[in-house]
Amino acid sequence: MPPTCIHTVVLTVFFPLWLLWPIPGPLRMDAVAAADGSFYDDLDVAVVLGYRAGLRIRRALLTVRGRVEKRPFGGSPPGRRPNRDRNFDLGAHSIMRDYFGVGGEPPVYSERDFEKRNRMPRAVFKRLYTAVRNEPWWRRSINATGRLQSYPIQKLLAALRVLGYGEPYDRPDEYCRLSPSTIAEATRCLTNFIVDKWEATYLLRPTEDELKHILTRNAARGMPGCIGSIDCTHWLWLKCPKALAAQYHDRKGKRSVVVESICNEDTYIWHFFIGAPGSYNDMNVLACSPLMLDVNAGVWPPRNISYTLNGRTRRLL
Amino acid sequence: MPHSNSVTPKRRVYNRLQQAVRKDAERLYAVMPSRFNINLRPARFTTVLRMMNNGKAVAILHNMAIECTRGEFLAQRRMNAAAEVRQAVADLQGQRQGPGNEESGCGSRQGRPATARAASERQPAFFIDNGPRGPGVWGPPQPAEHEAQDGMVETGTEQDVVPGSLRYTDGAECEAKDRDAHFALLQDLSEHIFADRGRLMLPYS
Repeated sequence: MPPTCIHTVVLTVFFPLWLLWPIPGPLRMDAVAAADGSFYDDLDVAVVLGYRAGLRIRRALLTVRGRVEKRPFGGSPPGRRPNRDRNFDLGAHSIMRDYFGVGGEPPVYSERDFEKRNRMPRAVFKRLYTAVRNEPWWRRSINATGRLQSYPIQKLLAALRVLGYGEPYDRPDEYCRLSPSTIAEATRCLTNFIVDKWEATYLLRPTEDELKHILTRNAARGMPGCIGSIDCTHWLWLKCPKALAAQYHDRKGKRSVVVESICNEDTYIWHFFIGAPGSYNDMNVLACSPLMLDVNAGVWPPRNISYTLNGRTRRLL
Repeated sequence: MPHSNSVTPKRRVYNRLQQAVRKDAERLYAVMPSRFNINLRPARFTTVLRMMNNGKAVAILHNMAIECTRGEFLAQRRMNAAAEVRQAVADLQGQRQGPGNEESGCGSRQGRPATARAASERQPAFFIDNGPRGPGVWGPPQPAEHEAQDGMVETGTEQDVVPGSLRYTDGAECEAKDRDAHFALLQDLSEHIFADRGRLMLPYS
């Protein structure tokens, strides 16, 4: 018998008897029957009884303590600092005052400043805003304490500042009045939203009409049959995981991801392929790009367009 | 692809024009990161997926801004409409004053459509060929040489090549990676460019 049990027995002797009452009948009968048995039988029964009583006490104590110390709903864990009162109204008001005009007054900054700061014309910004405004995450919501949350224009402007200036998430806090975690979330949501909604519109291969247009323009430049210029570049990846370090190790000794794109002379991109590891050279990237796969499979470009060069007529590949 | 060994004037002219045309791809990688600076910084994302999303989003925003400022691709319908209007105006003026002053009508803001139109009048930049294809789907059109003889079953004529089948993809890949076709194209381009604007672009020697 382990010595810890003896300790429990000694304790049970002095505990009030009401703790023992729900003991089932057979056991108590056994205890009575064992009472005139040997010493060891007595001890066994006492150990069992004592152990049960101890469990009961411990459970009762835990319940009482839990009722006192633990609240039924989560709440903030102890030790966390309270949320800063960032004054969302102030942020939204200053944005509206600076770039859109409040109360019939003209905006503080001109159109040129708007384009310079937000890196895009006003029409594009408005288009983004109207697309994003009523989305679930962007909509102005009420939190659990019943307070109104931030405005969609704050989140949008903060995310665009991060994209446009390459700032850390902490930086637009001073102007847009949002916490860094919200700004990080806004950037993530904005990029996902844009890619989901507009990838099929803007990063698509040209249709037949657009191909004719491109061919006409390039023929006027002196290059008939040219449908764009292709180039690759590397985008440095600072936080590359160690597991991927070997693949993404580029020829400069850094970790990077290769970007391949085809554009026309207005730098309008109609093919954009990112994600090839930095150890690839341009030929490898071209070989694994979805465009080249389609060209090799005969899916694209359309076969019915041809052009004449030096007296010979060829199809677009 | 430029000529690797540009010794003759034709090759040098071709290389100059090719470098000039190639500049827009190189300009892209200066314009896009300077517009959206996050591409200029080393990426601090932890997964490739987020990097891809970010790069794509930046490219889409760039395209939207370009479309707004330069009016490409989606503005093509408007350009066509404007060309029709211009044509109608020219017809009207032709009826009034006689032929000769077509280009005096409303010009475009950047003057590009007029150039493109002039070029397309000089020599069409492309042809649309939707007619029935000869047997050699992937080669130049050849006359049909198979003729059904008595008791012979025609098998595997080129007409049977279904898009997506193995023969189709094999033929397409062979055509796309044809080395001789590449050099023939290079040669033809050089000839064409030298004849077209050789005198203008011949470098000083």
